[in-house]
Amino acid sequence: MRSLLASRQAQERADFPTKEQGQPIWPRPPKLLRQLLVLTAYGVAFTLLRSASSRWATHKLFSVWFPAAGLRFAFLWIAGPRWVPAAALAELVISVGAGTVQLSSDWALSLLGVVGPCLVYGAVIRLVQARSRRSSVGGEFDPLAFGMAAILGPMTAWIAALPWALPLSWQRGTVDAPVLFSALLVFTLGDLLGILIIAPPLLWFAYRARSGEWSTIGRARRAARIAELAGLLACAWALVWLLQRLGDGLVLAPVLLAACWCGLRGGRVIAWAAILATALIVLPMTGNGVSDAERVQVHMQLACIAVGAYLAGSYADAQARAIREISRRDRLLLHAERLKTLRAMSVAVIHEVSQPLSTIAIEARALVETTQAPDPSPADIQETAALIARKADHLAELIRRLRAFGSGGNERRAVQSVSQLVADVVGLAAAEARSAKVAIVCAEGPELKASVHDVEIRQAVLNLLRNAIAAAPKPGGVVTIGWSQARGFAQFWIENAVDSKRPAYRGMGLGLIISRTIAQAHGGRVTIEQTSAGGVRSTLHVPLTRGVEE
Amino acid sequence: MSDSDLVYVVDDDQDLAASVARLLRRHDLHAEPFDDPVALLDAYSSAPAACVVTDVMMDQLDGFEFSSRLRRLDPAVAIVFMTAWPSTAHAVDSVRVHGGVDYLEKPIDERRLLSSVREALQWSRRSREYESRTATLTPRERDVLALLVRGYSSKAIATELNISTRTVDDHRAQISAKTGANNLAKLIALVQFDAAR
Repeated sequence: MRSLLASRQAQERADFPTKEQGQPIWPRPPKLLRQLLVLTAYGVAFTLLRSASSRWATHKLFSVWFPAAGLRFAFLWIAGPRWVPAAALAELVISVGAGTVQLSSDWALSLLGVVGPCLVYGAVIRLVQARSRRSSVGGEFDPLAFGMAAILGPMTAWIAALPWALPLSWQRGTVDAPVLFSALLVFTLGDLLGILIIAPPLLWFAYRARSGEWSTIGRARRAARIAELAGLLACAWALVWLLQRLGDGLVLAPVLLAACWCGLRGGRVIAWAAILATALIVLPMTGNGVSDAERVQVHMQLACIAVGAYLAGSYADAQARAIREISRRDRLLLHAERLKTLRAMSVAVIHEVSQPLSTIAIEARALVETTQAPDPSPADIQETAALIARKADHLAELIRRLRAFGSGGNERRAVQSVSQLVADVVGLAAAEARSAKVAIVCAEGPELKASVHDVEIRQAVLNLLRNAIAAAPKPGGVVTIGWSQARGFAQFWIENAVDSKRPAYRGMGLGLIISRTIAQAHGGRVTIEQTSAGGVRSTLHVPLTRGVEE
Repeated sequence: MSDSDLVYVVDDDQDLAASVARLLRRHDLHAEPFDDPVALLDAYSSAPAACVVTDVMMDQLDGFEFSSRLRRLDPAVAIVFMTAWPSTAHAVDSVRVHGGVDYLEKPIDERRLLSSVREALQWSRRSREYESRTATLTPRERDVLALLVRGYSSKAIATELNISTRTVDDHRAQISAKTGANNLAKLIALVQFDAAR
């Protein structure tokens, strides 16, 4: 058996997931030995968990709480379907070796009974993972996919168990159908509970060990929310206790609702914590000395709680992930739009660049000639050099603005000075306004600070400003830009007269939509109104940073 | 260096106008910078120039519009355009429609700028010379001149204009005296310059 296992591993040695690919710090055992150790450890742990669950066994066949299934599920989920046969063999060898499974006359059936579930789980995991890989965008693992595999696995195993459970139970003289049915129900319940309670933390650890990102452990679960959910769960249990005192038996429905709520609010981690808490209360109650019927009934409720809560948690996490993904793509889209804006402004920008460059070129050559002359005048040289420096600064500033505008930007928001934002936007639009023969007038406002995504707010204001320049009468039109403060909002406003001879609506109008999107992402909005003078005033409202106004 | 060789440099970027003017001055040309074309038009008649180097894209007044107005004030001024955003259409228009001597791209090629400005000054000098030499001709004398340079004899001109041969000879004498061109070849050279303009 050993040699068979070893040769199997030799075939399967391809890629057991390990963290480091580079130089190991200390000498590591050869790969084959390592894999053998891992498999042995898995088999031992499996056998121990299996014997631990015998306290909850019914009909001397299956347990209503089977943690070994969770270990098996986590192992197969991480190692991948290729490892199913090896894992099944490891389970078998260790179980038989430890004497927890006797291979007697019906050895073929016993063998199938041990190896069968492992194969079924492997198949289910393979299908679910392939499906989620096709539809997901990578990253850790699709939360919903795991939840579904965790529930589908035991169900499928239940159906697949019939072929071996039927003859096995017949041999043991318990052939009657209701008993068999309830035995299989117990098997499913045990596996469901085992998987949902044991597998999530194992996977959580495994994924973090693999990616090395332990820093996220203590992240973001706010104490207030945890207290709220713990309180909710405690209330539910108080209600359960009250109902039991009133003589209605152990009714876990309030806990089911509370656990689902925990999952929806807190995601998988909180859902799992709720499931664990519930299991820790329920499992001691259903140990030896409780009738099988009562045990099955309570564990069924427990399984419902586990499934409901974990699915709710997975759903919440999947949704949070989708929201993160959407906002990431939004940022990419906004970035692409910024690059488009830059391209549209390029004519004016080239003019803006070649102007000072001309001066620099002429003056630099003059400097060369002056210094080569027999009696160079220091004042002259100084003046020329100063002019060159001034022009170079101007160019550097222009390029800094363009580069900042064209960059992808930070993901995080930062506190920004409103006047600085406006100055930058005016600087960006100046070239275009000049070539359109429109003047930009900047009306100073109070010194304000707002916590914003700096590049995107610039983009939003610039879009409004460019729209105003396009709509203003030419030549000689005036666009006024300024800012003010009202009810906790910073307002960037832009006012312009409208050219009556030209249709007001030009281009695709995408600029305004983008400005609106950015404003909404900041919790603000864009308003557009007619002014009394017949012009248009567009305003971008962004919440002010509280406490930094002074 | 004389006042008749005055060059104005017009660009709304004051520093650039000053730089170009200084560059021209270093090459012994008499140059003055201007950052406002409108102000220059207002002041022009009191101090006409031989050549104006002007930007095309300007805030106050488009370079082409500016050159048309300038031409109306002074047909003998030579114009050199410079631009930061060159286009073929503008290049063709600047020479064909607006009578520019050259169309320069920014950043400016110094050598080309200098040769263009020198060419422009020469053109302006000849233009002014032509102006002054033909300014006092009467309409009838101009008619006679036009026919003369096409190879007509006095007799043929007399028939064409329906006047006497003697009157034609009087006109010819007046033309020679006023323009200083005492033979047919010089007259043709004079008129050819006008045609080229």
